[in-house]
Amino acid sequence: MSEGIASLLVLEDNDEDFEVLSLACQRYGKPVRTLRFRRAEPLLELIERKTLAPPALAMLDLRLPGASGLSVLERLKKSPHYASVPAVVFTTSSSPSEIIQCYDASANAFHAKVIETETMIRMLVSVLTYWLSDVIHCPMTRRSRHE
Amino acid sequence: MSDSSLPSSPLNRSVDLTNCDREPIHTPGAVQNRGALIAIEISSGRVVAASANCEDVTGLSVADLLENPFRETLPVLGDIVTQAREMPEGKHADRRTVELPAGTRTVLAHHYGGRCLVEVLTAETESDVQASDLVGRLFVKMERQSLEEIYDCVVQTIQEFTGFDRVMLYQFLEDGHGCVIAEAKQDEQEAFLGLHYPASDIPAPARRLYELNRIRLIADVEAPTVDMVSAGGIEPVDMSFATLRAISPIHVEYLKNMGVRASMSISVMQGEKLWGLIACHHNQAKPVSPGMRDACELAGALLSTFLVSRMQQEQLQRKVEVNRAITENLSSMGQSNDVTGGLERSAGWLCSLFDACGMVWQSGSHNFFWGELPNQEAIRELHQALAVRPDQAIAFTDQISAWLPAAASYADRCAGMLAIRLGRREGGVFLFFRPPYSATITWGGDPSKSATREDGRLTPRKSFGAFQEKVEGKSRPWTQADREVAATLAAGMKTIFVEQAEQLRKAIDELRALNADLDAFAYAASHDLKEPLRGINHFAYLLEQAQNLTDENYVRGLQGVKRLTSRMEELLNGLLRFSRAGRAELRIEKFALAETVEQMQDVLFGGLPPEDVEISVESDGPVTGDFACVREILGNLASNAIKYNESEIKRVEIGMVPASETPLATVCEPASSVIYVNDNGIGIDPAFSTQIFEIFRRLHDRDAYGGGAGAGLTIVRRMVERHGGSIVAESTELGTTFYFTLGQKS
Repeated sequence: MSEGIASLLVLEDNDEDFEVLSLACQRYGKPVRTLRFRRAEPLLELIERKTLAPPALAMLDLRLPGASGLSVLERLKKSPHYASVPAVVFTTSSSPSEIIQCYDASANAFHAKVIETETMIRMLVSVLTYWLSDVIHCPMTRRSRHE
Repeated sequence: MSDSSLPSSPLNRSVDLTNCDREPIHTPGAVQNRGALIAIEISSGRVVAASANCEDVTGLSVADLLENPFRETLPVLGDIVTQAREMPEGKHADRRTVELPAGTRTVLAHHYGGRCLVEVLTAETESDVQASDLVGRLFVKMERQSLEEIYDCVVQTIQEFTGFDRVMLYQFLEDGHGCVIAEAKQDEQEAFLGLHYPASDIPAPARRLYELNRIRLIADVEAPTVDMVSAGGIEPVDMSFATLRAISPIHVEYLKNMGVRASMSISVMQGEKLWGLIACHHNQAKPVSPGMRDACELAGALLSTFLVSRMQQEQLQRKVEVNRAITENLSSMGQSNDVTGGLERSAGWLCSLFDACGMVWQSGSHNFFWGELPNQEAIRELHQALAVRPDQAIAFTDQISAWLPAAASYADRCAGMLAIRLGRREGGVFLFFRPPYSATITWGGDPSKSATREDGRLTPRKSFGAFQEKVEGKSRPWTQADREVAATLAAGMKTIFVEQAEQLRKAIDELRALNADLDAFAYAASHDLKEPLRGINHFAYLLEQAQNLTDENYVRGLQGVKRLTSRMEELLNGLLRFSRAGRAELRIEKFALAETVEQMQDVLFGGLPPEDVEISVESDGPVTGDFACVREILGNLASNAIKYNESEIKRVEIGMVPASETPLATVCEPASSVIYVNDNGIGIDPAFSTQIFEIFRRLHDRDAYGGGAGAGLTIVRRMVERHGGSIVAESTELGTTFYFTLGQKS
């Protein structure tokens, strides 16, 4: 695992949305290594077995076929191994109950996807900038990344 | 809440004492001349009073008797006095015949108020009738007859037995006034049947004496009475139980006015209360032998028992009939949501139930008015006056004007009222009105024909006119039976409201379910519809970025927009189908499962199933539900079963099994039938067995297994739940089985 390249965990089943995220990553300008999952189940298994290297940022969609993004968020935050990984929720709708559920599960941020592509790209760039460049991450996370 | 009698209801009125009522008829100070009465002070054994005719009747003068020890003066009567003293107060010792200096005499004795009263009757012709004859005759005739027939039979038999010209059965009504309900008379006599007489005709003290003393004879109203002679300083002799008690001059006058020379009254009791009298009248003086009197008294006592039990039976029967009628009327009312409309249609019947001339129903903003009623303003006043008596479920009065003076203005049309309140507030109030008596009752005696005395003394005949005026503005009273009917009606109405509340609760539950669905809709609209919208936007963005028509961005953009537009349509259709599933009115009927499956295949495949699909009905049975709904449920389940299926031959088996053999055994009657749809498809992860029913919830990638909106199972669940049923999925590697009930016992 090389220093300097941020690793981004993405849980997103929608190809168009993922494509928009890729465009945002390009615009962000710094190298980002993206690990994408379309469904929650295989990711949950990696978390369970701790075979997933803790990423610099987890971006989770909530509504997926099968298990939901919320179950991944919960599993991440309950695991001492991954608890300090910033987990940001990206979802289409934002019902109050869902927002509460996510924050209760220790989500670091909750974002509603926007329809307008250009706006969406700008929002994603700011999120990437904030979490990958501006925020100082928990040393635990860094240490665990070196383990 | 309790019953309440409003002012002027007979139940709470103080006894209305008239001249007659105040007359101390139990201590007349005189006896009838057909015998002599001797009163003995029990403590001293001395005679304290005796009738002036003692010498004629017994052979011993008052002077011989008064203040002397009775046993020494008339030792022959010592036994009966001893026996009488051992009897309870008012009870007569066995009647006996004794030889006295004046001749053979019949002697009666009882004690009351510390005195023993010995009655010595002048020789009366003893008839050869036996009490058992009369009683036997009566009872033979009374079997299997209606009360009305029994009333007739009683008066006829007693007339035949005693030979009185006229025998009537006179019933006391709730307010104390009476009515002739049966009559046996001579052809030439004027009929009294059906006539009503004011309560003052038989005043309260007289009624009390009839309760104490069950038979009273006045053999000749013209016969002079004989005064009592008392020792100095003693209380007047209480003759409540004495058969020789002199009749009140007012009563004598009453009888004379009616042209009656002899009269006998037999009490008919309802428990301890006087229910009525068998009144016997004769144009001539009429001695009635003690034996015959005994027979009549016994007949009266047996009749009382018999009539009371029969009346109770008939009342009960009537109550059952009324209850059934109420229940039937109300249940048809309860089935429609329009209680007010239902009541209005039943108004005529309800009024007849209470013998009312008009009624008002008010419940919240619903009301209606039927029949003869006070005006709106007056009804408002009644409602207001009732509102301050919130604890009373049933309130009634036979004279509204005694309660609300303004009611006098309509008392000529509506004089009495009974109100039924259902619940403390907003439950609804019934008002039933009764017309004044004058409109409905024939009072006995026509004042214009009366032989009245003009000396200012209240005479019986005059009292008819006076009473007629007095009852003006009063209705027939509300009887115990009326109030029971009212209570039944109230209970029935409450049941309806409870049922309606139940329906309301169901409607609220439905609404809640609908709200939950609407939430899902909102979510679906925001999430699932936004998703393709965002995609479309993305492809439009790509189109914008394109340099020319062959640019890769242009081609991908165009294709993407097209694809997502059709996806969007698919989702919108799913939403639409879902919203329809919750709305249409269900038409519940009974049909065969196989029939539904057949039609479902026609809809699904347009009559031609694909070669790799086999749909079979494993066990047919009757289904109760909405045919079209069940067809759509089966269609959705079958198409899912085929869609999520990788087998070479996609099998769908549909049938019915007892609920006890399914996972639904815990939520429905184990014996009821459950419909199942079984497939050999890919199965469902048990973790998602409930999530699959959520709207737009997909277990697979959007484009896997032919895509789809993810609304099918949600629609299925919604339709099953609307039937009041449940659905579950059970899955193994070999396939999935959906079990559902329609909430009906098949």
